[in-house]
Amino acid sequence: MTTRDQGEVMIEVDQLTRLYGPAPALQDVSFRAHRGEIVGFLGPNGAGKTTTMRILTGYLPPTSGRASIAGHDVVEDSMAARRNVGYLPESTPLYPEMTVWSYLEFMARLRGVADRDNAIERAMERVDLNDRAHQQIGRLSKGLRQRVGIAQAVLHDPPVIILDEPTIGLDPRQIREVRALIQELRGDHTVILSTHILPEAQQVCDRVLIIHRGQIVAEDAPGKLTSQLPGGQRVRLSLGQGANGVASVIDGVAGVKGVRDEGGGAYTIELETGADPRAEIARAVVQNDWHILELTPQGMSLEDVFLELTREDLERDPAAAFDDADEFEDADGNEDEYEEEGELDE
Amino acid sequence: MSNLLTITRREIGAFFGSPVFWVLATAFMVFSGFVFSIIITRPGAQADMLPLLGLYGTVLLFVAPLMSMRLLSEEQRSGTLELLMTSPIDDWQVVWGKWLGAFVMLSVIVALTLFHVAVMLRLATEGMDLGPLAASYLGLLLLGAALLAIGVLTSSMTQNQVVAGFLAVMTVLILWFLPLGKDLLGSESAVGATLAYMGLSDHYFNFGQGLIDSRDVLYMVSVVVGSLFLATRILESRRWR
Repeated sequence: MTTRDQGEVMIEVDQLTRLYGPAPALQDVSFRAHRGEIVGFLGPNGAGKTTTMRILTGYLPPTSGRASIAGHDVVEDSMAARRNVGYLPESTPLYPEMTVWSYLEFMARLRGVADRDNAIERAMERVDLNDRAHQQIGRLSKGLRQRVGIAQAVLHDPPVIILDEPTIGLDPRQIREVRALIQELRGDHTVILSTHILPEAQQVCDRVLIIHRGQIVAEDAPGKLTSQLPGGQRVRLSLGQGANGVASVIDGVAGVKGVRDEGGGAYTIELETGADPRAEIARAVVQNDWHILELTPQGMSLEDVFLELTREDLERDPAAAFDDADEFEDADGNEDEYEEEGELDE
Repeated sequence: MSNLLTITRREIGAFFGSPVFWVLATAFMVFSGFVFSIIITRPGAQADMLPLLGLYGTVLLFVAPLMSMRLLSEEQRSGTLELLMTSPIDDWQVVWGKWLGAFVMLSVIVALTLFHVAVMLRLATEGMDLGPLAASYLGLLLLGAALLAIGVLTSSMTQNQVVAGFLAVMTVLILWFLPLGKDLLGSESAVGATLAYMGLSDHYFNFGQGLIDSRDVLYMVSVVVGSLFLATRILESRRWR
């Protein structure tokens, strides 16, 4: 079995399925998160991110499959599992009529925190809210309210923190603050956060799970995802005016998988895996007497990966993608990548 | 138990911070004070609170649903219910804790009328019979407890507190007037007797006559337990939908 240097498995999800009526919101989702890891759920709205989080926090039971937090099954041992989780639901639910302090005190009591005053002060310090203790929550700005929500989630110093869309609806400065805050949680806490903002996942997370239609379609470190994808290499070609029939000519070049006309003389050329036909493309351009303005290789951004994986007509078999994710622990091919990150150790 | 009281404490705080409570308390006191002053200034007035307390009961039919309509519907609308239901606390504790908070506040409103009792005690030349008075107050509190529980139940069904309040008033009025069936069907009709037993008003007025009958107490307690049990199940069912 594979274990992780920095700590034990804090979240274990096995073959989780959740049906709403006959329609599956989640289908056979399995993953693990270790102590100190920040895992991002990436996916379009309605992909199953919130459902997964709600199952982990004990709000929804799974239709089938198992999930455990710090070794406690979320269904059979729900109270113990809940005690180990700090949760910020998507809408940042707060009681607007309460002051920051009284709200946090209420949550501390519910979580059975022993030394409440200390815990509240520490949590407020963490999210930089100290001077707001006696302000009414309803009068705080959205960014500050988000911080109150995060303070609530870290109040009892739980090993697992689950944040559903923690930066949604914030302005750019507030988003940066919240991201910095999440970074600070790295270490002792295992953090799961969901987002559909790709740079966010790239910046904050150690590992990203791309969820689409209730399934995990890819799982890796943000940097690895982009290189892993088939057809990952692209070239951008810009031509001067008067170039006709470009697509069909370039498409005929060996090593070119496809050509997309971006308009205005710009083309995106998708390459076969491992091929680099840039010289041939340039020759074809010159032979046709076109004026070449730009020929640039383009790495795929996480955004491209995301769009590629969540395209309506999934070219990749989602079941196959999922199998990869499921077996990442024993699959030797993947293991090397994790070792580089210092995340997995045989 | 401490979790339940945590919910109750927060609820009481929320009542003090909400205009609805102050408006209701003021309206109740203005109304009861007005009626009280009419009764005691009548020539030859008896030192008798019982008719008054009967009247207070009917006012509660509207006050209690207004106090309880917010309890669970607002939590569902704002999403705070998700926070409560993912905290290490049982669902029934949320429901009972909220009900208890409302009941404490309703008791405060009812207790304000003790001022009237004090005035009457001063004015009564021949003293007052405190036994029936105590029974009436017990009836009033039990009625309030039952009405609030019905309000908690309707509040668990919807995110909209106005709908919850409306449903509660309708339910309460139907239960209140159920004993009318006895008059319609004749007193020897079994159906009529059953309706009368199921209704709120007959049980309540028994207290008003100074009687503490265990059947009446049991009825009110059953309404509380039954309503809150159903409300808990409805909340739980949200997890499965």
